[in-house]
Amino acid sequence: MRRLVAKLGSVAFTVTISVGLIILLVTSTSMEAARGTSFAQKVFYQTRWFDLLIALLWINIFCSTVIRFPFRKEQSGFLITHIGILGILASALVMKHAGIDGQMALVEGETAGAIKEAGYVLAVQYPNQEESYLDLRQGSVQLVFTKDRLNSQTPFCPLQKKSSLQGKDVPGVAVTLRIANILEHATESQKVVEGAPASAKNRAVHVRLKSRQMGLDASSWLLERDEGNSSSREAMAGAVRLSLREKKNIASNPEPVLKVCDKDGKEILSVKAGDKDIPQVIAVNKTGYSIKGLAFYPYASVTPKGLANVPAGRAPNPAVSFDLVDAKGEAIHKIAFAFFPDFESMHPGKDKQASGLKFRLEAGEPEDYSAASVDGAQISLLYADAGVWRYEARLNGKVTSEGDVVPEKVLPAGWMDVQFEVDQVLEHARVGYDVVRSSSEQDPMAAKIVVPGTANEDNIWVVENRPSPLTLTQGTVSLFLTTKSRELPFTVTLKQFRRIDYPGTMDAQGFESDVVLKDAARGVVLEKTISMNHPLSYGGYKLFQSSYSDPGSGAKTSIFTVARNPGIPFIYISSIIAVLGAMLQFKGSKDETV
Amino acid sequence: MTRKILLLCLFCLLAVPCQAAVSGDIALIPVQNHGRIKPFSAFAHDTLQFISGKDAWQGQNATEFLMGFLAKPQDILKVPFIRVDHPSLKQLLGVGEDEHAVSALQIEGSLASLEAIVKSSSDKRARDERPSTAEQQAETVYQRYAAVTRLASGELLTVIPAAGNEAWGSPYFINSPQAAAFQQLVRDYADHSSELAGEVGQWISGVNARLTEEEQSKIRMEAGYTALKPFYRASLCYLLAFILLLIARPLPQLLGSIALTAGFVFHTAGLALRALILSRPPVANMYETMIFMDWALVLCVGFYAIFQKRRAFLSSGALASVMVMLYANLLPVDQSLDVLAPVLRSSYWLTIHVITIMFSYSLFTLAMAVSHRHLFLSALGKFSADDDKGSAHVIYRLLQAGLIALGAGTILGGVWANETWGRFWGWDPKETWAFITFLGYMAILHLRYSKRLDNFALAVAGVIGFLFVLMTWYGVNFVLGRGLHSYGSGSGGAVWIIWFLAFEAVFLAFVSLKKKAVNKS
Repeated sequence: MRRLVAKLGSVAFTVTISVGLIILLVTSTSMEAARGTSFAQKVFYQTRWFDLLIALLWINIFCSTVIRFPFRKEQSGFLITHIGILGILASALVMKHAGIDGQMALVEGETAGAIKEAGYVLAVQYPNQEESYLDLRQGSVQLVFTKDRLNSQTPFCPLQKKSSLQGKDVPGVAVTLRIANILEHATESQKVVEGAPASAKNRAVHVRLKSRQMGLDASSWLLERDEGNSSSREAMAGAVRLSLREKKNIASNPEPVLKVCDKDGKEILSVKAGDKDIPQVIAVNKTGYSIKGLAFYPYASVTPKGLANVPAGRAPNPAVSFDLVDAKGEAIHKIAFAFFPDFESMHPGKDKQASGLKFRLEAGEPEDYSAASVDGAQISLLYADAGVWRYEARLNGKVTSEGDVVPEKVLPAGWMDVQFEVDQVLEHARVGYDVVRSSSEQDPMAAKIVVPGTANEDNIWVVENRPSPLTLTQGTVSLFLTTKSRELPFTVTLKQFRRIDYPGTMDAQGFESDVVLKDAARGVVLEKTISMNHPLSYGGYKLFQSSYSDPGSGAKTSIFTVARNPGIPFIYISSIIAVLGAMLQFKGSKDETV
Repeated sequence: MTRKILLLCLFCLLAVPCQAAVSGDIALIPVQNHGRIKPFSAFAHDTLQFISGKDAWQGQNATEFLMGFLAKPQDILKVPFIRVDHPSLKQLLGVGEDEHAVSALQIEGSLASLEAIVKSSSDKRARDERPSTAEQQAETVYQRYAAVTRLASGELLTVIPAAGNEAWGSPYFINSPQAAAFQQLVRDYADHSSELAGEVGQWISGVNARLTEEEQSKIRMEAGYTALKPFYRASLCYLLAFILLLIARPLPQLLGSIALTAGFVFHTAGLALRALILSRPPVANMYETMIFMDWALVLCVGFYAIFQKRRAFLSSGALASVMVMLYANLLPVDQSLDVLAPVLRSSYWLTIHVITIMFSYSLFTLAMAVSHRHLFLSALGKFSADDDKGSAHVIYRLLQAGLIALGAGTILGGVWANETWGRFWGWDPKETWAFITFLGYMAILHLRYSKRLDNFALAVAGVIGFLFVLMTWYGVNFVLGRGLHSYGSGSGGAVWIIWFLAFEAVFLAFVSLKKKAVNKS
């Protein structure tokens, strides 16, 4: 035992553990620089083994102190310093989990008595608006449908909303769900696959772009058509505009033609939309409908005022707009895009007429369109009918590099050190979406919920801040992810939030919140202003000004950090002891030269 | 020979460029800029420095340069003075490889590309990613360009006072008798009119009538600070002191001590002026902490010389202080007198924390300098046994004192963090590196204490330990670029750090080999 203590308290062990910690911490900070703060916290600092290492350091200091017993007078500096350091480390280790740390966001005029803590719960809102909270961890969870909960007639009442009935206390029908996957940061990813060869042509390329100088390593799909995205033929990768265009000579550029088909898909009318003198009213054969005020936009873009020509700096997407007038003279406004034929189905409007007519615009790029007019850096991928692909890179309109696309061959852009590569080429692309893990800490949390046993084992993804409805045989519930909350022994009301700028600038000089703190149990009412570096202390809690949001007009939101750390006084006292001891040691120390 | 060196050094000291007399009172015209009221000379200096990285432009000082454009501010768009360093940005903006600057008009040709890069950079920041060096440089170039366009429109020239904390106006945007008077002043400057002096005096007294006594005295002080360049003069004095102190004769030693004292006076005056102008302790950004650390270093050297009668280390201290000053100017740290972010304002704990840490860094820097001297002399075999022992003792004591200050300062940082964020310690990179530095020096001292380091090895450790300080201080902000201490963050300057590291590597290799040879013989 004595020998073990001597070993653990030896200088050699001190140096070993110090060097070990140094190597570990150098690694962890480098990882943090590369992969973000929360990664480093999760993988290093918040782990048990890290606590264990610090504990080992504690044991080393403790043993080194013990083996010097009985102490001589000149060792008092050494002794006090080491006791102080032992105190700091012990308080830090023991109190690590004793503290409370959360956020409170208040809109001006609002009162709250709870904080949000780190961590999430799965919230279930039953048909009667009642909410219950379930632990968010992989495995099974139970929803309990009681009679009350199924009663959707209960009027919405915010006060009743938070009654947290424990499911098992109330008899009812239980449904088991499974949390199959939890992603701390998730994003919707586009999944592009080759569809059936018989399906309509829809060309797509996957382009990967790299530049060390610009810190760029991005990839993107470019699609001829995509239901959800009118600008699928373009993408930005860093500062570079990628686009997918048809390679053709201008002479063969098709004239824009608006084709009208009936319910069965039979073409019944075709109008040359680009003509200068289109008649004001065009009758649609044998249907009683007519097209009025047909207008063609070669560079169409949807603006709040309707369609407009916005040619600057983008690949064109021609469109027509017109009124469809029925026999009674009632009109509805219609829009058809050449490269976005599904616009109509996504924006159905008030189609009172139910004409069943389908409109399709066939058009190429406008004759005067030229990639040369696009500012900045761009890479275009050009397709021709024969399935041959070419590329063209330009900087401020000037061609810097062009040639044939060879899949998976790295091609130069001709400016800076940008290189790109086309790694997939599809002819009949089909688009789907999937929720995947994201590396960005800004992205929301998501959980995958599986309903076992049902015929369609449909998985639903519940994404933070977005309620997801789930229909079961018992009724429809709403699932959402929310942060854990903790009740405080007092309430806080935000009266006003102010941001003060340095005169003549947009740079903040300070943030201030006027608050009223009420502790009903003790009959305390405090009116204070919290500002940066000037927190409000009450009952061991401290409220710090942490952030804010200002919508521009109306009430502002002030965000406070609320913390309670019972270990702090111990750390402060230990620190004072350690520093005083070190000074004493410094005064009495003699350098023992080798 | 000695006399020649002395004359040369004196010449260097006097060759400090002085503010030309022509600018005269114009330098004192109050301008509201970056949230403060400052004299025109400081406004011109800060603006020119920000845009071009220079104090003067083609023989004109900043005040003259800017005044020259006020009659026709649009002309400034044609001046090729926007600094561009990054090779790929140069290519993008069409700048030749040998050139380092462009005009705003030249940038306009490829503005879309520049804006796109700036956007991709800000998108990265929004995602908490770190933009590449080229992107960060693009942001700076864009800000420089924006400043030039605001100069050209006259928007930046806010000289017409407003009530209270309101924004001041520009004579190019306001239609008032005051604006007309300023325009007249500008025309008379361009025409070299004899009435100029009177108009400037009238203008200043008119504006001063609306300022408080304190604001007026701050303007005078800042004009003095801008003209004096106290830190530049201080570094020249320190350089002179170093050269003189190398000569082991009574007269140069005396003159060297005088030069060191003179440098310290300039140094103190500069820090005091900064503190008075900004009404806060001068320890709030990277530049200020470097200058303050250097001041503490000279103070410690002086203390040692006077109280411990150890003059042998004065030259090491003088060299170290010149090097720190040099690095404060070489590294891309902001030197302007800027207002503070809210988190850094009015915090008593923050000030004590930074000052304590800077004192510890100054002790470590001094230990590093003395270690170099020790290694150099020891390797050449020029140390007597007594000198060897005495020098090692100084290093040991400096490291001890530094470690206590570092420990205390780090704990004070925790106190500040607890008062500001509600947590004492959170393994933020700066905190983690402070802990690494603490562990490193602690290991060194324990090894020495347990007789595992001889004098030579202690000096080597004194040099290596400083690399931890360098990483904690500069590297965390400029290499890792993450964490809560990111005010004072940026990028670049890596070249100078690499030079330093390369020098240290070569130096250590040289002295180790030499020492072995000496020991054998």
